Formats: sequence, structure tokens, C-alpha cells
Amino acid sequence: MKKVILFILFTLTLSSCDKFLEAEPENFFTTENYYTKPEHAESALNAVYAFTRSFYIPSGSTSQAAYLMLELPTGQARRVSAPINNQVFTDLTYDAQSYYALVWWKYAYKGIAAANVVLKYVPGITMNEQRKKQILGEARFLRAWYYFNLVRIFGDVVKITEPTPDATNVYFGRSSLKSIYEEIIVPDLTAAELSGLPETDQTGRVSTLAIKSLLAKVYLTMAGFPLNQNDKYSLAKQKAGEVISSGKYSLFATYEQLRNPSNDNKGENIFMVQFASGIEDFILNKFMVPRNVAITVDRGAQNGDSLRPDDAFYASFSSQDLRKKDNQFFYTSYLEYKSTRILTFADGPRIFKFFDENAEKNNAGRSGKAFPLIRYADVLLTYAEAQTKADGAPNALSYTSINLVKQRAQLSSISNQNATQFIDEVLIERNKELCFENQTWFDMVRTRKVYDVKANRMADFIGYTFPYSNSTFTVKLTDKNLFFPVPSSEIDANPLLKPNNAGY
Amino acid sequence: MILISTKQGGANSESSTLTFNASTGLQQLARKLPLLNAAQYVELENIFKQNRNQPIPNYRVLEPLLYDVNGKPRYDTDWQEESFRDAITQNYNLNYSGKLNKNKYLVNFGYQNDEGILLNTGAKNYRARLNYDSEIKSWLNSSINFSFTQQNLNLGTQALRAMSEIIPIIPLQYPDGTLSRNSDHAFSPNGQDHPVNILNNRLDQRQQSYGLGNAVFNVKFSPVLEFKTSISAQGRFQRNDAYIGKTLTAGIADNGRATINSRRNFNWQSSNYLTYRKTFAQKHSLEGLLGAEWLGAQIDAYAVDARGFSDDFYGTNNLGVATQSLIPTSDKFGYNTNSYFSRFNYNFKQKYYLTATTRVDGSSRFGENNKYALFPSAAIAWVLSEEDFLKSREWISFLKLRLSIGQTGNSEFGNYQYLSSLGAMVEGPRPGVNFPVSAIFNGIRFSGVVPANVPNNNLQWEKATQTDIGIDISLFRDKIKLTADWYRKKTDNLLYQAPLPNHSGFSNVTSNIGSIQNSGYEFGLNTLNIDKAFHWNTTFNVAFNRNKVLALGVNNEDVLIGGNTNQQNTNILRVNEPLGAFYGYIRQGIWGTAETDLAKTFGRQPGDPKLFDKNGDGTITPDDRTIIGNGYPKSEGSFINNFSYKGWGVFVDLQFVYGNDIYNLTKYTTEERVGTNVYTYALDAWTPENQGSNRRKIGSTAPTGLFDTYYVEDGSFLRGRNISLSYNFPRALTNKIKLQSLRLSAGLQNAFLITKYSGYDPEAGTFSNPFTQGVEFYQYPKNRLVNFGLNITL
Repeated sequence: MKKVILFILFTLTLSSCDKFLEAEPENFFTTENYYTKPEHAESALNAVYAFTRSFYIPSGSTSQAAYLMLELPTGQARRVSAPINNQVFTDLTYDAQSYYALVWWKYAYKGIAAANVVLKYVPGITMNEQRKKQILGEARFLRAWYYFNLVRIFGDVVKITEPTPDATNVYFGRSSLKSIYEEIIVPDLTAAELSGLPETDQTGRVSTLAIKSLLAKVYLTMAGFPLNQNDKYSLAKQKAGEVISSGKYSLFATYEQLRNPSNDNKGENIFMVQFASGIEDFILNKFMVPRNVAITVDRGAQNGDSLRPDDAFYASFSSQDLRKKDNQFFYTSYLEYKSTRILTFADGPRIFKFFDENAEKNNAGRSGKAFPLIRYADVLLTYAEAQTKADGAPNALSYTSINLVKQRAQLSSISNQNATQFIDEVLIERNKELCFENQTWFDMVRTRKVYDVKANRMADFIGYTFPYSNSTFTVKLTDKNLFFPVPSSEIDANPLLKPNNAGY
Repeated sequence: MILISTKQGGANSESSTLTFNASTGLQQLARKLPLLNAAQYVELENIFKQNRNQPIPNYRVLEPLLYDVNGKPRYDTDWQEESFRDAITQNYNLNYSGKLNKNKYLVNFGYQNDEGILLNTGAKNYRARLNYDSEIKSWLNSSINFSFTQQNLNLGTQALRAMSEIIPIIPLQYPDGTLSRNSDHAFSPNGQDHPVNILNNRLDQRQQSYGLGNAVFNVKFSPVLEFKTSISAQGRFQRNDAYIGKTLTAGIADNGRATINSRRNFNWQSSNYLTYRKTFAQKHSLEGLLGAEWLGAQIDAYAVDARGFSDDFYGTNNLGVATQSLIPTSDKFGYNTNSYFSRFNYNFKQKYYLTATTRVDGSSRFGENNKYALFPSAAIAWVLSEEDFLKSREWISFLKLRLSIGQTGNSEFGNYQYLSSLGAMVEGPRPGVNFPVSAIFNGIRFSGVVPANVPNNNLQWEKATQTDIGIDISLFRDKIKLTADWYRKKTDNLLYQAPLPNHSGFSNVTSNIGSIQNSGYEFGLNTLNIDKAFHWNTTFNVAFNRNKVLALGVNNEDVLIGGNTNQQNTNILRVNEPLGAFYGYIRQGIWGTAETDLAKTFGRQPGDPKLFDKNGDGTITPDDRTIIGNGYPKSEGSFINNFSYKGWGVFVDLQFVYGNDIYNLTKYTTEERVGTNVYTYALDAWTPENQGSNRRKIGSTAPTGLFDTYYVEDGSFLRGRNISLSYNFPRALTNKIKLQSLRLSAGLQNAFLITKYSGYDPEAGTFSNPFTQGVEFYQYPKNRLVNFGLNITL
């Protein structure tokens, strides 16, 4: 009997050592034991960059990406019937349950969370101080970019500047759009400007001139609706002017060069979302090829015709405008796949701006093209607009700026215009030059003006009726379209976000 | 089908028995859904375009492959007909058991091959088992078991949705042999391949191997004291193979794409019990038990993804021929649990019973202060039929009253959730597709990590406290047996992945979100109706369960759940409401022509769904959602009758479920769209002439996918689950052919179904989330099976 008890006691003590229930993960670090080496700082920063892709990659089985949310409601894209996520944005019947708004909300905040991790933990890492400062600068730039998108899309949003410590301290309401600009976006960008980053970069990283360019865009937006801070025009002019006077950038001579993936991050491309074929494919090129026309390996079956120019928008380009010509910004025919026969599209033009010829010919359309977030043409037009608004009349550099863009399109230069005429010229040029680059919608809401494609002039945002309307089916912009709705699933999870934006 | 139960070795001191069972069956789709044919589809598409003021393209010219010179569709394909088949099932089982001196053994082999009703799908099962029991010494017994199972499944899941959505006007293939796809018709959404192409050219395979070894030793120290120890090791290996062929739209750009996901799971377990049993004065029976248990689990997994194949022939079998691959992934994790328990049993003259147990369970899944938890329980029972005042009454053969109350714990959730782990992948914007948080510079990938979860150091064991009161009665020499129970199970510290606001950087957090309660009645009635040459017995079971949420979070705030389709919430956890109640809008009908002006104030037009403005603010917003259904039945059960006469047997098993709702989300994509095929119900849509319809006007621009009561259906049903007939050949005959027994049988499973539900089958539930039960979205259809069996014992 004694032996038995001894045996059992032995078994119990053998195994009941405290260590038995200690979990020792072998496949991940934790926040507590990471962030000790320079490499850790870089890997934390890489994640901040990664989320810039999330808006330009598929967000559904086919034909869907959050990118489309900022193109379909401009009235410049052709109405499509499927999928439903696209239909509601072309018909302006989207609501708080529409998925793309959730993608913008969720992934902007994932990017912000990743940036907050860098800003909290990297300062404590022992490493080259110069590089450390740059890393913090890159993270600040990206955080500002994510917030800049959020406030332009949703207006008031939640202000998060620290990593989330636990699941209880996450229930906050929305802060005013003004405070997000003034307390995060502008301070982040001005700090990033001084972080010792190189003036330019050709690998896809943030550079000092990219920071100045974004700052110019931020000031121009703050000067417009809804903040209307007029003093920001001169700051926008100053920042855009610094980029122009640096002499580091120039417009590509041809649109072919602009399109060519080998020119990514070079020339006129100031900052881009990075892709690499076979690693993280660019997808938007496939969204814009025609369907059921055999110019691509799969006849556009998977994603073709997800985004097409509206006929009236295409018609608004003058016949001299080089951008309208085939194989520039648009095309109406193309070579059959693996053949020399030319196939003409029976039902209208498609967008050629992001067509990757080499990928279509040799790599089944799998492209590694980077998507432009800021390019020099945008900075030139930003300068022209900001300077005119700030000084009351366009100066010589503003004329030069807009005329550079016009001349490349083989349009005649303009001169001797009054401020109003000039601003309208700039805005129309922005619509044409920057079309389908996720810029037009933001221009529309900051200026509350829409390019009326039929009348070829700028019209008021509120009440603008899309060209594809008719007597029984009307698509018209109203007050509620100035901001997108906060996703209802977010409000479900956190009622402090109420009320939703007006109209939702 | 013949079920195999564990057979003990033969009874004689040296004997052996060989049994062979074989059965075969034929399976068919039990219920076909009413989808549009080509002419109906074209009509619907034209109505859509008219209602939307879109031109009807000249398809005769634009799509000559699909339309003839008169503009009529050339093809009319019934995709259900093309994708389903009559499938054969086979099942064989060989059992050899016996006794040799003080050893008993059993060897069993099984093979099962079930073709699936979808083309090229099916399941194969191989089983082997060995049991060996010996009495080594008079005080030492051992029992050793080994088993191995191999399961190979071909699933074809991807074809299900395509089957409903592919339009009928495209053919299987064109006369020149080219495969067709939905996008051949310009009006269709992109990309989808037709189901037959998917079933033929898309591999979707799962292979599982499962091995278990277990040894039990029983040491009798004395007549009253016994020690039992059990050691087991088990391994499970699962491998999922997928190959998307080059002929599929999804495979063209990749030029063939193969993925292999592999997962290996190893567990060991040691259980030890010391039991003391003694009866005093022939009245007091005592049993005491002490036990301790340890379990360790290790899991590792990897996944590879290769693209660019010169030939589909290779499938997933030779990834080396691929030209490109994604970054492979791997994973490794584990958990340990450790329990101590004691049990005390006492009964007096087998009349009064008392049991008390205490368990301490520990798990590595919890943080430092919450690893262990205590779970006590107690039970009493009174056998009234042993009392003198009832013993004399012959018609009562047994009567027992029971009362028990006890606690149990649950730690089944992910590992390491109390730590703040860093990961290289997060959920991507495309549901179900991971997003690597790496950067790309200069066309090269640079690895990144982000916090992958919110640490929750307060996580603790989920605790369920169950109270049960029951009665067992047997009457008329066991001819009538009745069991009745009332129970209440209260679960506290419910473990769940609660949604978090995304501005935190995270979508959810594993936490103890609240308390829920299940309570109800269960009745079981067994009657032996006739027991002569003709024998008839009946089993009737019925359960009435109610559940509700008792408490949530800190302030009883609602938890909305779903996001399975179109990312919208479909279910809710709300205090005092059923678990995962359906959540959505109330559809009051369709706005009629007479209501044009009122509809306009809501931004709607006649023909749009008329949703109830619950808060009366004059606009339809998410605040107008409410609880609109309950996925749990009011009652469910079965009614089984067994008849036999001289070797003939008839078995009838009826199953019923009553009072549950089904959230039929399939309807959302199969009635309210155009460009894909839809159910014929769509033809009954609202028109100015058909004002009473509850189906939106074709081409209505009202937002789709605001889930409302239109999608909620009654899920009650009565099913003929199994009806079978068997014949045992008489002894006299079997002896002549030197067999101990010979039995033939024939059966019909899922023989009939009575239900109002419009989908394939009311036993619906597409998602694994425990709080989205009863939500259907492209469910795998149920089959009907006719089978024949043969059973031989040598």
C-alpha cells in the first residue's frame, strides 16, 4: 500500500511542475520581446508601407477593389450593372453597408496602427540614429497619408496615435476633421520633412520632395471645403513651389513613358503604391481591359470592363487632345492576343492609362506596375491653383505649369486669363490629366465643383446630374454625397461613432 | 449502410468469429431547385434593361455564338442536370474476433467508397483496427488498441455557387470544343466558370490520416483498491490539395495553379485513476476515486503555392515543374492541459445514490493567473421502485428520481490569445484571402510584421453550470419505458471572438463576452407494442430547448455578428433574446403604385422593397433593424418504429424539427440579380400589374442586400430519415451452407421531406460560427440514398 501511494505521489510531482502549462510560442515574437534590433525597426516600417496596397487590390472575387469607390461616383465612369458593390457607387445608391467604405476605413486604420507601432517602439531601439530618424519620418508621412484619405472620405474620424494596448481601451467617438488635420496630418508631415530623408527616391520609398508634395496637397485641401482655411493657399503654393524649384522632376515626354512600368518611381512619378509581378500583382490593368475582345489571354473574362470611361467624359476631350487618341489614355482597338490582327471594340473606348503591354503579351497580364499616388503633373497643377488663389491672379510659373501639362497633350497654351477662368482651366485640366487616379473625387468635394462633361465647364457639385441620367432614371449629386457613410458594422461594434454622416 | 459497433471477442475459451458486411447504394439529388431556363432568362434580362432604360444590345450580331440569326438563344443548359449524377456507394467490413486462453482479440478492416452526387466528387475511407485484451496476472489486466483511418475526399465546393449562377444560355462547350464561361455573355458578371468545367478541371481534395495507439493497465492491489493508468498517442495528418487548371478562367493568368496545405497534429495523453470500492454490511456501497491527467498537443502546418504548369497532368503531384511560386508559409504551435479530479459515490441498498466530484482543470491557453479553474458537481438519485411501498406493485418495474448540479469548463479557442503576437499576415480586403504585411521596394519583397491580435490577459475558462432533474420509469415488465428530464445550463464567461471597432487596428478579440442560458425538457419513450411472433417496438424522442443571452460585456451592449456574405451583419447577441437571433429589417411588402409619393419620401420608387421605418425618423437607416428570426427550433425529435416477423424486419425512422427559422441568404444572390441565373420565383416580381408581390421589381435600384424578413423562412420539416427492410435467413438454411448467419437488407435514406423551405434542404447552416446557425448560403445539397446490404457471419 505504501508503495502505491509513493508511486502516485511520484507521478503527480513529476508532472505538476509549473512549467507544464507555460506556453512558449516558437513561431512568433510578441510586442514585449521584439523591437530590439535595427532589422526589427525596418520590418515594423515595412508593414506601414504594405497597407498602401490594400485599396488597389481585389476586395472581392472579381471586378472589385476599394479604389473604385473614388472613381465610380464621379460620373466619369460608365455605368455597370454588376457586381452590386460597383453598381451602388455608379448609381449613387450606396449606403452605410457598402463594402468599399469599410475597406477604406479598416485598412487606413491598419496602416495607422502599424505606423503607431513604429513611432512608439522604434525610438527605443539602439541603431544608427540617422536611419532611425528617417524611419520615423517615413512612418509619419504614411500615417498622414492614411489620415488624409480618411478625413477626405469620411470627414470626422477617430483619432488614434498610440498602439492599442488592450481590448477595453478602444471605444472612442470621432474627432473633428479640423483637429485631425491640425493635430496629426500637418504636424506629421512637417516633422517628416525634417527627418533627413533623401530629396528623391527611385525604389518606392518616401522622399523629402514626396513629403513636400503631399503637404502641398494637404494645404490645398484645407483651403477648400469644408475647412475653407484661405491662408493655406499660400502654404500650398510654397510647398508645391519648393518641389518645382528643386528641379528634380519633369513631365515625361510621352504618355507611353508615363505608362511604362520601367519608369515607376522615376521622372514624374513622385510617390507610388508598389507592386511586383509574381510577388504582389498590380490588378487595375485587368480591370480596364475590354471583356470578350480577344486582346488579352483570357479575353478579360476575370476582371475586364470593371472600369470604363463614360462616353460623355471621353467625348469631352477635344479631338486635338493627344490623351484621347488610341493607345494614350484611352483606346478603341488593339492587336489580337498573339496575332497582328487589329480588333476594334464595338461598344466604346476603354482606359489605356494603366495598360501594361509587356505583361499582356508575355505574362498573361500579370503586371508589376506601381500605381501613382503623387505625380509631378499633379504638383504643377496644385501650384497653379494655389498660387492663383493665394495671390488673386496667376503668375508666370502658374502659366508655365499648366501649359507644360497642356503642351504634352498637344493642346495650345493659355495666357492672359482672369483668376476665375484660370482656376476653371486648372480644374478641368486636373479632371483630364489625373482621371482614374483617385484624384477627381477628392477635387470634387474640396472645390464642390464638378466638371460638367457635356457643357465643358465647371458646375456646382450639389445638384449635378450625371450624363447617363435620363427622364426616368436620374443620378444626381446631393449634400449627402460630400462624405461617404461610416460603415454600419463599425457603428454596430462601437455606437460612440454615432451619428453617421448626414443622410445615412 | 451497415453500422459497425465494437465487438467483444467470442465467449468460449477458444473460439473465433468472422463476420463480413457488404452494402451498396445509389445516391441522387433529393431536391432540384427551380432555376430559369434560357427563354425565361432572356425575358428577365430584357425586363431588367427596360426598367433601367438600358438599350438591349443586338446580341444576334454581338454574340453570334450564343444567339441564332433570329436573336433567340442557341442553347438551353440545365446546369443542375449537367453537374449532378447518380452516385454509387459501397461499404465493406471484415471483422475477425476470438478468444485464446486469457487473451481476447479483435481485428477489423473496413473500406468505404461513396461517390458524391456532384461529378468527380466522393469520399473513400480505409479503416483498420486491432484490440487485444489480456489478463497478465490475476491482479493485472491490460487492454491495447491500435487503429488507423485514411480518408480521401474530393469536394467540388467551388461548383455549388456556379451551378445556381451560371446562365442557361451558354453551352457546356462550343461546337469547336472551346469551353464556355459566364462572361461569354457580355451582360454577366465576370469570371465564373461553369460548374462542369470546375468539377472536371479544378481539384479540391482533402486527405486525412488518423492513427491512435492506446494502452490501459489495470492493477488490483486488493479487492477494494484498484489503479488504472492509460497512455495514448495519436496523430492526425491532414492535407488539402487544390489545383486550378489552365482551362479555368481562374487558372488562365496563373497558367495552372497548385496549392498544398498540410497540417500535422500530435497528441499524447496520460490518465491515472486510483479507485477504492467497498460495500459495508451489504447496504452501504462506497466508491472513491482520485485521478490526474496530462495532455500535450503539438501542431505544425505548412502551405505551398506554385503556378505556371506546362501541363495540367501534374496537378499537385510535382510542383517542381512550376515556373513561379508564392512565399510558402509554415506554422507551429501547441498547448498543454492538466487536470486533477476526485469522485465520491455512495449508495444505500441501491436505493439512495449520492455522487460528488471535484475537478481542477488547467490549460496553457490562459494567462498566468487564470490557468486553473475548479469545477465541482453533485448528484443524488432515489430508486423508488426499491421501496417496500412500490415493490409489491408489479406493474411498476422501475422508478427513479434524479437530481444533479455540476460545473464544466471549456477552453476551446485559439492558442496564445493572451499574448500580443506579431504576425506577417493579416486578413485581406478580399474575404478569405490573407494579406502579407511586407513592403515592396524596387520590385523586391521586404518582410514586415504587425501586432496580430489584441492581447487579452484576462481570458479565463468558460464555465457551464448545469442543473438536471429527471425521472426514469419502466412499466409492465419494461414494456413501456419513459425518461423525462428538465435541465438548465447556464454558461458564464462565454468565450468568443468579439468584434472590435476597426480603428483599433484589429477586427476582433478573443474574450469572455457574457452569459447565456439553455433550458428545456427532454422526453424519451420506448414501447414494446407487440412481442409475439410479430414484434413491434417504438422509440419516440422529443426535446424542447430554449436559449437566451443573459449578460454581455460590461453594459449588456449588443454584439452583432455575420459579415459572411457581402460583409453585413446577419445575427445579433442581445440580452434576453435567443442566441444569435437573426437581425435585419422588416419588409412590409413592395411599394405600390398608389404609394408613389410616400415612397419618394424614403427615396424609393414603386417596385422597391418597403422596409419598416422602426424608429419613425422618415428614413431607412441601420437603426431600423430589429430581431427577425430565431435559428433554433422550438422542438425536435425522432419517431422510430421497428417491426419484425420470422426473420423479416422493417425499420422506419422519422425525424422532425419544428419552429425554427432559416436565414436564406442564397436568395439574395439568386433572386435579386440579373446577369447570373436566378430562381424562377423572380418571374413573380413586382410589376404595375402585379402589385401584391413581395419580390422587388426587376431592375429596382433600391439597395440590395439590406437583409430583411423576406429572406427569413420557416425551417420546420418532417423527414423520412431512414426506411429499411431486412431478412435474416433461417438457421436451418444457413447451417446447410455452413454459415452462422446470413442477412440481406435494403433501405432508403432521406426517403421523403415535407417542408415549406425553398432551398435544397432545411437542415441548413453554412457557417461555422456558433452564433450564425440557421444561416444558409450555397449549402451543399442533400442526397437521397437507396442501399442494399449483405451480412455474413462464419
